[in-house]
Amino acid sequence: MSGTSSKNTTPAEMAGVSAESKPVKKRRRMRYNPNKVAHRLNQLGLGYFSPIARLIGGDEPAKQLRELASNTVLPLVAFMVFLTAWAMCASVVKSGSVEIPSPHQTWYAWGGKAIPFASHPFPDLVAGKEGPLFAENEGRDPKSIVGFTVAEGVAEQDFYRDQAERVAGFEERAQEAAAEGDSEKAERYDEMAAKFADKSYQGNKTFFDQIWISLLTVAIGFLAATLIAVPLGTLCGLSSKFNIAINPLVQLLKPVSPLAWFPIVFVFTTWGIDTPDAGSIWQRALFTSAGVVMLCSLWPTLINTAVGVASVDKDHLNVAKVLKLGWFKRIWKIVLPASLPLIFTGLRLSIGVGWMVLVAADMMAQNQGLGKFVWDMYQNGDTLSTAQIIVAVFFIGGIGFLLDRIMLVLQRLVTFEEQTI
Amino acid sequence: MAYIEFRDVSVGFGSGSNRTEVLEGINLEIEKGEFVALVGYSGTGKTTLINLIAGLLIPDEGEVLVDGKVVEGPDPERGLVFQNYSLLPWLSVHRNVGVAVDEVFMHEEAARKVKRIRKAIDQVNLTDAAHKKPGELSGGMRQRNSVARTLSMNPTLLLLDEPLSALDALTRSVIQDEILGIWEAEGQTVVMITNDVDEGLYMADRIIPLSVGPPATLGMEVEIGVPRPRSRHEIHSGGEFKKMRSEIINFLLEEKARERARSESKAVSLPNIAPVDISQHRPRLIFGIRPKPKKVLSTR
Repeated sequence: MSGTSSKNTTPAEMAGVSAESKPVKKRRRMRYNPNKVAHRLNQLGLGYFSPIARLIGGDEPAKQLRELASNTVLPLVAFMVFLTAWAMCASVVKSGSVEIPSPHQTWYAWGGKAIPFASHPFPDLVAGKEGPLFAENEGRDPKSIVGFTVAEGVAEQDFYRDQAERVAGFEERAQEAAAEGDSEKAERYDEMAAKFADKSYQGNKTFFDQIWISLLTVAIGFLAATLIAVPLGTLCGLSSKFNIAINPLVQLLKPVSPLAWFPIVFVFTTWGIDTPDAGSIWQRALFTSAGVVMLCSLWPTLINTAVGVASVDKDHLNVAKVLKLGWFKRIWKIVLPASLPLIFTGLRLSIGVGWMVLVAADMMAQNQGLGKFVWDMYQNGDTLSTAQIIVAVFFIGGIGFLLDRIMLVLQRLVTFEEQTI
Repeated sequence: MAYIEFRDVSVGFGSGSNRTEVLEGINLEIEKGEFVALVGYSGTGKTTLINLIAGLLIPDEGEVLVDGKVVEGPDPERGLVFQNYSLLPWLSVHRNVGVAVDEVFMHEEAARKVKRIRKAIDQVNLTDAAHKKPGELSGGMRQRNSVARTLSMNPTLLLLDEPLSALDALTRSVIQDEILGIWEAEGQTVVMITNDVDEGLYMADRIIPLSVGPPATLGMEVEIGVPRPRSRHEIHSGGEFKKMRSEIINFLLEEKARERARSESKAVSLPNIAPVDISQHRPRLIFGIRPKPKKVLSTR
């Protein structure tokens, strides 16, 4: 009897507990504040989505829908106008073997597949060629960007499968030889197995590899530019004499084109960097390209840092004086934090310049980045390759936009809400 | 010898023809533990005077002594509360105080430093806002934060540069009492600048009005021998206070009048220019082509 009663009370207690704890939980849960979320989204550069956040909160739904519609429809209309203008050029503008590719041809150059139910964008190119190569690539044209990437992936897999087989074969023979007691032969087979196992796939770079190399190049160049520009800019801001000394040099070098920097940087990298292995990604061309990016993206950060440091609020410097902060602490604790917003404005401009300069630098240095891709496609000199250049243009623009957004978010994070304190 | 001593101090800004003397021939003595209020019109050199004590400025002539030593630069012992708060906007209230504590008590262990920061923030009743950034605070809270930063350095001398002038009347009276409470508990010497005579009467032991410069001098001073705690009501209606207030205000008004007379004697009389009514005197413009001048032959 007691057993059943205890069994009965337990669920009752549990129910009691849960009934009591539920409202507490509810009170504790943060209420959804659409304004706050919208503000955060704006801060992250995702202002497009802030009407959606307000809509979820039920805040003036009609107004939000209208805003969302205009935010979506207006850019779409502009894009359609752009597509139309492009399509009109496509059938008209041509030079020798190259035409300006149509949007459909560009789509094909990207994915290797025609749009369903439309006529084929490259009728004469494709006639009779849709053979086994297409079948291997999921029906994609292996000359297209995605098709080529898939084909390279397959080739790489094949290579490693083949390699594994060979290595296994040599090891097997080595074991056989060891079993026979011929240690010399076994050693030789082992050596050959090791030699084969060491080899890595040396295929062609795909478009996506080239994007990564481009990003790596810009990262190196931008990082180097930051490491030079921020300290130098700080010195300029701190000492007007230093600023007077280097200002003419800055003004002189700032407008120089990346194409002019290239031969100079090339000499430096050839002198300073040993010839790397063929398989390494740390090619000399990468550093040449990064050097050009650095020399061109240095200036906005330098100038903005100098202005930021020079315009630190005098009151903040007085605080440093009263506290008797040493030189280093004054810079580190007062001057640099106070000028961070402007430094980041400079960095944002710098990364934009760096990315813009990159394609030219890659072309000149023959760095395996997007610039090399554009150059190679240009050398091919047919409409399909030109269409691939247009795909690359969209990618270059898109990545540049993303980089800018990332820097914008960082910039907003370091900018204090109210600067008038 | 007095705790703070000004000996024939003169200071000016600029050089050559741009030079303006701000303070001239200042002699002043302030005793240890005294609460002194400096009043005067804006722009008469009150901040310059306090910066001289803080060591942010060095006099051109004469010398400023604090505790028998000539002031040669700033020192955390002489805590200055800035007129415009001077908080670092990227740091929280806690960290703004922490910057000072980390520097002044550099060699103390972290836990003791945190204790000091907490104590200073408690003293100004800002505990609940310790994690907030200056941008999220009201003017009064910012000033409290600024005071807390100065208090955390354990100064023996508190220099308050118009600490309350940017605040509304209610917040002002609350912070006045807080500052008085801290002073009574810790017994620092306080030099406070204010533009409000009543504030000086309520808070200070002695009020020193500055003459209207440039260059400003110290003309007189009023000892307020009224025991504490003083009542605000008394300040506004008490006879004793009335007498002292009128004494100070008369001095300041006379100064203003003298300054006006001085500037009028120097004044350049401006010509009486009345704007022309264009609608009445509409200018007539005639465009034409002038023929090439020719020699007119005499007809005679």
